[in-house]
Amino acid sequence: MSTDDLNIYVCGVGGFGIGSVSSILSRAAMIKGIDSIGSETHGLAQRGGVVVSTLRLGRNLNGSPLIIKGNADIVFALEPLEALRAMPYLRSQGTVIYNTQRFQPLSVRLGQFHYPGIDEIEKELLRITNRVIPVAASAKAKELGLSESANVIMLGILTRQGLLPFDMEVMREAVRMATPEKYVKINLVALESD
Amino acid sequence: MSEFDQLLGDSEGVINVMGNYGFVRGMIESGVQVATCYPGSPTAEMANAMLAISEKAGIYFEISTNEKVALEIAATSAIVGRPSVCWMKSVGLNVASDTAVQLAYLSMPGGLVVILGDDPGHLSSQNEQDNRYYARLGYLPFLEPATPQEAKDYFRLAMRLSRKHKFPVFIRTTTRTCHQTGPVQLDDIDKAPAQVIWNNETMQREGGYIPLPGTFPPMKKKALENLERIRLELDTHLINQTFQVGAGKPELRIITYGHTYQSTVSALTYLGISAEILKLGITHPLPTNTILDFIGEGGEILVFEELDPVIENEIKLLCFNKGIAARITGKSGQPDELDLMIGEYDPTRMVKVISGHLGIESGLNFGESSVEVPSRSPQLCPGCGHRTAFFAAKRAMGKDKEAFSTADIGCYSLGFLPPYRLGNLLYCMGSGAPSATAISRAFPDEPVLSFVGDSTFFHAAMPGIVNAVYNKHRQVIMVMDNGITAMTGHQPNPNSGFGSRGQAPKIPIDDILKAFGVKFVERVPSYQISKVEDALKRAFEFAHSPDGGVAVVIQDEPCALRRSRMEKKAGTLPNPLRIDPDICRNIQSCLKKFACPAIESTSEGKVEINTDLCIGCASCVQTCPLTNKPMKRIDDFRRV
Repeated sequence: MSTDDLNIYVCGVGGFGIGSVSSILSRAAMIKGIDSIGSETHGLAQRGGVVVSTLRLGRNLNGSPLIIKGNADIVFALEPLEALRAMPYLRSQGTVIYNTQRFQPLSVRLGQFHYPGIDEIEKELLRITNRVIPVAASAKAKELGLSESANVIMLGILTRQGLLPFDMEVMREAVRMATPEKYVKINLVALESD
Repeated sequence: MSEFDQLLGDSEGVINVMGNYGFVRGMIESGVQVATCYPGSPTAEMANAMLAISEKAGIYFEISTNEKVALEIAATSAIVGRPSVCWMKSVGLNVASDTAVQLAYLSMPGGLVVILGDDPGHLSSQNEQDNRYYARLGYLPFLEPATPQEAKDYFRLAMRLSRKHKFPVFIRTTTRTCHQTGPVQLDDIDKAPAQVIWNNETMQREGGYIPLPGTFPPMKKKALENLERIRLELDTHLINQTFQVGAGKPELRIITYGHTYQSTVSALTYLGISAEILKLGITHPLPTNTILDFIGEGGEILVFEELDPVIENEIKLLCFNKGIAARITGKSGQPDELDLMIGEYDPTRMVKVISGHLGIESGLNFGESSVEVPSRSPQLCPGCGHRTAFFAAKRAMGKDKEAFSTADIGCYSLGFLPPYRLGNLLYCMGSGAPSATAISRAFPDEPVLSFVGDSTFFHAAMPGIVNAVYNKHRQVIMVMDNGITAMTGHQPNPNSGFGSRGQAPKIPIDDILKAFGVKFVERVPSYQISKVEDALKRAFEFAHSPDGGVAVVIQDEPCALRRSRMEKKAGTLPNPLRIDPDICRNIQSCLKKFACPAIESTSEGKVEINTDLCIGCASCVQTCPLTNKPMKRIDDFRRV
């Protein structure tokens, strides 16, 4: 495995910007001359169901874009419960970054299940890795005036912590290329916010 | 510039796109003139791309009313000389099968490629049927790509073969290839004009197009010969290739293809096992010489394929016929044979299969949550008109009558989930009304109700409704009219008022039903729950009255997801609601009985509205039994 090889497991709830995380990251990879292959979820699952997108970055990539359990270097969860659901994919001592904004599934709203507390979720994830990064990304995104930018805020944090094979300059360029023109400005601010 | 414009590029270069767009680029490079489809996962995004770029690409594209119609238009276009393509989801081929099994008998000078999106793992279909059987039933060649690059390359090859042999060529793909992203190298676009000819002379020269008892045997002979010609041509083609994974003498020899090939490579790399792999590009007819070369003197060969042991059994037969003592190991005869026939082969599964075969440790190391993770099923969107209609239907049917409702294919299939549990029997597109017919005959006094969406109505539901009128059945049908084919990503249908090329006639469902002889047709606004409930109650009364019969209530509300997106963009989406805690008595009817995703429970056991999700439709207000409603519109709110 070369130092550029990275398996990223992006997950969340349908309709909350999972696709754009992958498209920004694969743009960044392209700028850096790193290959990327990915897998997306489409169709009915998008209607408020679990959505997973995987992305593998590297040189001379072969094999499936899907990630073997226990082999995701980064779990990027746009919702806390989905971070917990993704736990089997997280590599021991990998990174899990998650948005603390919850979206209650039907089973919780109907009282069939209990939605675990953030502390419970954190405790579980800490069994696998010390690198657990909760981010109040939705709240920050709303302050910026674009709720869809929560994912970009999280990408900015990963970049600044040196957990992606890209520097900020590359990410800025990728955001410019991968987001609709009228959101570019605000997304660039989101990328820098912490 | 739309994201699809990169598919139009004339010059060389590399784009990073999903498999579905790889196919679309293949169509453009191959000079396709006619493209037809009925949208269905995992191939639906091809329709979205074509809606955006077909005119610029000079391709006639249409979303037809169903897969059979789509295939007949594409195939006939190929017969008259135009390079044509048709695509559909796995079960779409069942609808189109009457036509599909005739294709091989007819000469198609223009070239016809059919793309089938199979769905191992039934990620978005009612089953995971193995469409490779249709290849055998219809004498059809099947190519199977793995990556977006191969999606494009195989399409080009398929069209070239089809034009050369005037024979239909199918590409079978799966969800993991359709929705896989990766690099695609652009090639030149074929701009050679196709010869469009159709007259008495060509009809005769091409062998005729009417299968009669006298003319059919030579047509079948020609089909079988064509299939053999294509097998011979591809037997030496590079789409069937041998790869070495890992260094040193191969520990395993494997035959596989498609995404299963990719999963196999991932698993071998992970396990550090070296192997020699024959990756097939064509799976029907099998490239037998290539396979025999690979097998050589014999020994053990592993065959990895998802779903049924189709090629495994054919390879066994091949070895038997040739007297080769090879041990072909796939799934048949394995202790876990039945399990191996279910679901997709992802890399984690292949790690288990290969390590299990070798009797070594899988090395898999992963954690599971010790806290229970609540399930998160898909659900109707916030403000969906189907939800208010289900709420009203449940009331109109009465207590414990859910079993008397049948479903159809669409977003409203989700009605079977709690709290509604409406629509409890489902086969396929259009099955709602006929299955309700049978229930109404068995239980003549019960409120029997079936649901059908607008696109499904035109696709396959009309014969069942005509049958109900003609055979004098007593049942109620609710048309879930949201004006669009919503589940697959908002493609237009004959009820939309627009089509593949802008404005189109809106074909009124109400008038069709009246012309069928349905005496009770009422259109009601879904957001007004009492009106829907009242209409349904009267519909049940009509169905059971002496002169009654079929009654139809049309639930009318545009798709909330599509409308709210457009209104949010335009800044016209109404403000969300909130619940006034001083008025709310925590009855929780809105939370537990209505169950809009925007209505959540708090950690204190109260109810609140998530203003990020609420689209302000105010339907929930009607579900609260209090006279003084606690749901209030927020006056000052900025949507971000």
